[in-house]
Amino acid sequence: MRSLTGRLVLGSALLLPLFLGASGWYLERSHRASLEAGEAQRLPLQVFALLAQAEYDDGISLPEQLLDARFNQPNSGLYARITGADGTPLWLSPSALSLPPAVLDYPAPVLSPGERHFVRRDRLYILSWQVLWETGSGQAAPLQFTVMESADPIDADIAVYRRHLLLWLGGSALLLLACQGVILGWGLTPLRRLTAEVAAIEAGNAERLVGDYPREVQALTSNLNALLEGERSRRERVRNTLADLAHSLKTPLAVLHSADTADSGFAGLVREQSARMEQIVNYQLQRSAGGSHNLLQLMPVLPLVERLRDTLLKVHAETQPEVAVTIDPHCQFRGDERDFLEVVGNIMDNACKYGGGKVQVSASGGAPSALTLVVEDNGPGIPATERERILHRGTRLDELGSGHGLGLAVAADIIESYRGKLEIQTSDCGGARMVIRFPA
Amino acid sequence: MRMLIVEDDRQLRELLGASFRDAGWAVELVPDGREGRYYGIEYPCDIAIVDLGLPDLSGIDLIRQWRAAGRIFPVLILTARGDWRDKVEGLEAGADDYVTKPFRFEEVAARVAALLRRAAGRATAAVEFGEIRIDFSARRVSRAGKALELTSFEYNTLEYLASRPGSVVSKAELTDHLYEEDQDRDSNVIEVFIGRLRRKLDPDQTLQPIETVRGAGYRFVLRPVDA
Repeated sequence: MRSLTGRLVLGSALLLPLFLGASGWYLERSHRASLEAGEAQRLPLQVFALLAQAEYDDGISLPEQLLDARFNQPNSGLYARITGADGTPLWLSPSALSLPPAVLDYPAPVLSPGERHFVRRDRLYILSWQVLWETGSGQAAPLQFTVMESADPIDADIAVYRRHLLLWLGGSALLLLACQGVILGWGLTPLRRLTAEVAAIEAGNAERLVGDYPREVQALTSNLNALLEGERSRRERVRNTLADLAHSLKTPLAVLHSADTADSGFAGLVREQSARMEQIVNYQLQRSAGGSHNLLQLMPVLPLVERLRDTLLKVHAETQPEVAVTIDPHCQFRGDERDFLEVVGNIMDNACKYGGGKVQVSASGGAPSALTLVVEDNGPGIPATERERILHRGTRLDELGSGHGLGLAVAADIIESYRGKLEIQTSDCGGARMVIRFPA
Repeated sequence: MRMLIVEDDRQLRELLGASFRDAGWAVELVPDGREGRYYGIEYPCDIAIVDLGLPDLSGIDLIRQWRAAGRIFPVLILTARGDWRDKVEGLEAGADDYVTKPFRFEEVAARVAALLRRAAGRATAAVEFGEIRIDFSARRVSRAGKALELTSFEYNTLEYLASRPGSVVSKAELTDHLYEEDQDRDSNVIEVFIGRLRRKLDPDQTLQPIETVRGAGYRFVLRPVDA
């Protein structure tokens, strides 16, 4: 099932008949039960009436014309029979004469005196009642009164009831389906709108999802927007990087092209220009480490900084710098681990290389609010006039210096891609203080 | 000294190998991680250079497996991306330093020398053993300020012994660390080199820097002088 609407429609198409069928079946059954209970209470009254009219001399006898006229009319639907102890019929109501023998031959059930038996047989409700008739001679004669009433009126009643029931249930099923259709349409409107918006983005008519979406969809749309945003900035980056790379490679290539191959300095020139190109490529490679920070995880800052510290202590084993880390274990960074290591690694590495042997790393804030990381050293520091140039060394690639501090430009680039900021200040002991700010 | 280079790029591998051989190293060149693991575990090695981007077994896994097998020789990693995650992971796996590609041979050689110095517990590149001064990074030896002319093999023998002052080094150990795997080895040659070294270092036999320990090997008896 690929479609949500399909799923919901199929679900209710399966459930609705089941539910309505069950209630219809139950309603019909209880209606019939109540009708039959009424019948079972009416028939004993007929027996009482017959008893009142009966006389016993030699045998049982009833008047020609019975009180209930239906006993007198053939085929009236109400019939009576009196049988003796051995089951032989002693008397039949006139109405019963037209009945087929099979019905009249209904075998009298064996009952004890005073016991009643109510049953439906074919299209008749039959009540048998065993009585003991006290005769004039003081003897008790066992007699069984059987009253039969046609089931047709009740069946007809039930048929009518069933028709009504079907009409009502069918009608409400249709109504329910219609309501469901409306609810479905209303409930899925945001998704349809989303589809339309995505289609518009695909077609290039829109840049992002702008609609106000319900809570359940909001997470999806905001993630989608973040993804789109990231994708666009990544594309931009790639374009910029490519353009930067191409432009900055042009200069050394031009130098090589125009150089005199016969000149004795040619080998040196090739070496020098290839070194320059190498540096450009290196810079762009490192810069490309940053970028795809869209659906980002939260990660604790302390373990990352500690890993960097351990690495740097190994790398700078010669100079054995002291690296002090004071960071709350709950402090978190939202982003890509590679980016974080690249930024903080470069800055801490510089502090170890150019600092005076003491490095202090601290952090404040942390995701979900803004994160500020501070790396300080006790080295000579960076003159205020140099600071701008160092941070923006990356913007004009053909001005790349000797590689010293190239990492800083890379770090600044990556921080900028997080809309953050890298500031160079002077630490309390006169060294460099690098302040990395990641926004909330 | 023996060096193991694990690098899948043939040109780079050959270039590094040739340069280090020129500098007097016994070099084992290996193109992939599986072979690297075998050589690093089964053969003596004083330092290894490992490219992180190997085709079969990653350089990081390779270093981890060496370390797990108890091999503690210093390891220098070569990384192409040069990003900090690679560096951190490499050093966490047990490497000791890194060089980012592309690099100049001098840079790698300097890192190798620094790692060896660190591994031998020396604080400086040059060490004075009384009158004899060995500059381990420049590979030069002098006595009382006068430079001595040593062949590459003689220097290597001296370097190996002088890196372990006071301990006995067997002839087998010397051959293992001075020759490459496919070179002919003859332990008698060692005796010849030791003899020549003794004559060059100590022509008048006043210092007796290298002592023969009967049935066991040789011992460099001079102690480094603290600067």
